[in-house]
Amino acid sequence: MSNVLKILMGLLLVFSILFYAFQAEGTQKVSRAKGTQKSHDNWEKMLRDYPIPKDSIELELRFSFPKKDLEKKGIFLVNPRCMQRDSEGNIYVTDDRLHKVFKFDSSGNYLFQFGQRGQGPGDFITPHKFFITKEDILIIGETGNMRFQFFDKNGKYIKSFKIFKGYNSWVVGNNGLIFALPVIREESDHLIEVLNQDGVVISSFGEPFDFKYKNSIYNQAEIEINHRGELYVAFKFLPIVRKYSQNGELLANFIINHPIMKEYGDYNRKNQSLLAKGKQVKYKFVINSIKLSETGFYLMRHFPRIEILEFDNKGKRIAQYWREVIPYLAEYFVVCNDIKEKIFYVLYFYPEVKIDVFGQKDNLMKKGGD
Amino acid sequence: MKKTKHLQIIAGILIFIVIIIFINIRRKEGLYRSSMKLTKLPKFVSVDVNGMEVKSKDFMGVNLYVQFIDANHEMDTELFKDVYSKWKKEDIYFILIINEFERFKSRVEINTDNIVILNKDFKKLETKFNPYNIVGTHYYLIDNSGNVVTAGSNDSGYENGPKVFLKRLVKNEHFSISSFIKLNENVKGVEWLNQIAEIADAQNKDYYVISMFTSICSGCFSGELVFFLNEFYNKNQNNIHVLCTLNDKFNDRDITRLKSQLKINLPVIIANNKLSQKWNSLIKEFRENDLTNIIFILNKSGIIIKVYDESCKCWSQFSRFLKSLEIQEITCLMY
Repeated sequence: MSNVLKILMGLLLVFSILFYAFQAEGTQKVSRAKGTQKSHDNWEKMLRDYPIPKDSIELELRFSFPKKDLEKKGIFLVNPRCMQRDSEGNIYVTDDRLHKVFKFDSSGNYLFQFGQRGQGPGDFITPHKFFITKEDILIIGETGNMRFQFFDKNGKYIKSFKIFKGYNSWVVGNNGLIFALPVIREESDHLIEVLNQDGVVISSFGEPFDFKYKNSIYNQAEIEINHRGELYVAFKFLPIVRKYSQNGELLANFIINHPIMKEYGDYNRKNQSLLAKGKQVKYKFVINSIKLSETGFYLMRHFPRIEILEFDNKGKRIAQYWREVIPYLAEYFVVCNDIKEKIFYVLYFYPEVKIDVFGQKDNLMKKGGD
Repeated sequence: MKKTKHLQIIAGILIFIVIIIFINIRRKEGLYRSSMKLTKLPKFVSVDVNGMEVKSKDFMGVNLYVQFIDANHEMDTELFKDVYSKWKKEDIYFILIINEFERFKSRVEINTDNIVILNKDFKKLETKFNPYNIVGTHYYLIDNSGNVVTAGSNDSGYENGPKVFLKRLVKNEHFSISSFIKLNENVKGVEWLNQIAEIADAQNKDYYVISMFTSICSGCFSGELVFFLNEFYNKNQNNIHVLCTLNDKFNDRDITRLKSQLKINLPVIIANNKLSQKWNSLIKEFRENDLTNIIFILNKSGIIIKVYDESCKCWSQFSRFLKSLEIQEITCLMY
């Protein structure tokens, strides 16, 4: 009896081991599939919970680029980091994996690229954000070489200077001064630093939000400047846009009234306190990007749908554009005020790298109604 | 007798439960690992470009360089060209996993003696190695026991990427700054450190804390070191001279930028010709990441009493030593 029991126990053991060993790989697949399903469910729930307001304007896809046939010629984007538009409507994109800048015309036709991996003038190591001045000078930041490089619209190198800290976003003021948002390290740091054309910080202003630990991304923001020289700072993790003069005067503090932005902003505020206690938590993007218009500003969000909100200079919402797409990550957009309509270029960087160009759906003028 | 049998059964069940729990834990680790970096050469069977079967176990006992190559991606090919041209005659085998071999072949000249090219199972091998995770891994260096020594992306290129790890793995060459900045040596006798010796001569301090940087950024470890040294300088400048040395990539205007951007006031200098020559030759031989974030301490006579670089992983010990110099001063004041 004892021997039979031992044999049975042994067999049970062997079977159990085999069962668990074979199940492991399957469980991995199931777990991944569950993860994908969970995000998909969450996306659908968000779409249900936050329906589009009735008066909002649906966008339709006009075209996408870079065009597929360029891939055969070795021209494609891998990890785009930023997109901007020059005064002629051309689109520039930095790619931090290819260490290059690509230029396309407003119809998405590839024009040229410049840069290669390296440390010399005109070379790049992980180029990321950039700004195009009204004179069409590109000021490109590099994480790898820790510098700002200046180029003309033909990709010709002009000059560069070293930087010793991370800057999230920057613009050039009317007087040639650079207004840059540094990574906030300490409570005493200001939101905006003013650098001269040689990269020397000459002043700083703007109070960051309740800052609780070093190198926080809680105050991460994007800065834009309008034709009047007013600076707009949109916080990435809070539903807040601030307007400053170039002298550092706070002109306005807009709190954006949007249900998802409010929910995500509250979530981030709560997590800021948790992070201060040493807990590991993530923030949710409230505002992905800001762009300015003649009379106000636009904000873009990418989840659960592409939403572009248009505000006047008093912070009053005047229009809301949307497009339902499967969950794509988009961090940048540019707006082109065509004679007939507004055109939005949206840069997606995950899971597919592309730039979608949207116009207003059922736009009578575009469709020959004019 | 019956009692013994029961005990045997209970012991058997307990062992069974322990094994099941153990397997379960391992299984969960496996799941977790699936999204983490590879630690061992994964088991695989594939077919090379000549139609020969290739198994992972064929590579046990040899050093191995594995790279995934997207033939459309110029940087993948460039990285491999650099690695292969410099290491093809050394004691290492190469496995290339390529999506379009014909395209690759037209660009790179290879000798097939120590290289295995797998172009049939790109997708399958991708799932085995899981290379394109967040950090974008493209190559793996694997030792003769099958352990992954390092993995990296093509972003860094050869010089700042696999070079140092290949030297370690294949030639057993390890870099340590203390081979060049030697303990108990007087800087006055080291020609390439004459700039430091002159500065120490001109000051009359108990200690000199000399730091060397090839790059500084506030959010990096270099930034943390600079902020630490700046604070240390402000507290102890009466008896300790703290100096930040930048290599010759920088100029005097960069010093102004550095000080204004990081809001620091500690003395900063650019390396002179002799120091730069030595520094640059070491960077060329090893890599820039090894030749930055270096701190050494001299006593009053210029003798090197402590050396720090990142490879020693001893920052807390080193910073304690620095603090101990601070305490000495306070003690002296109290007397």
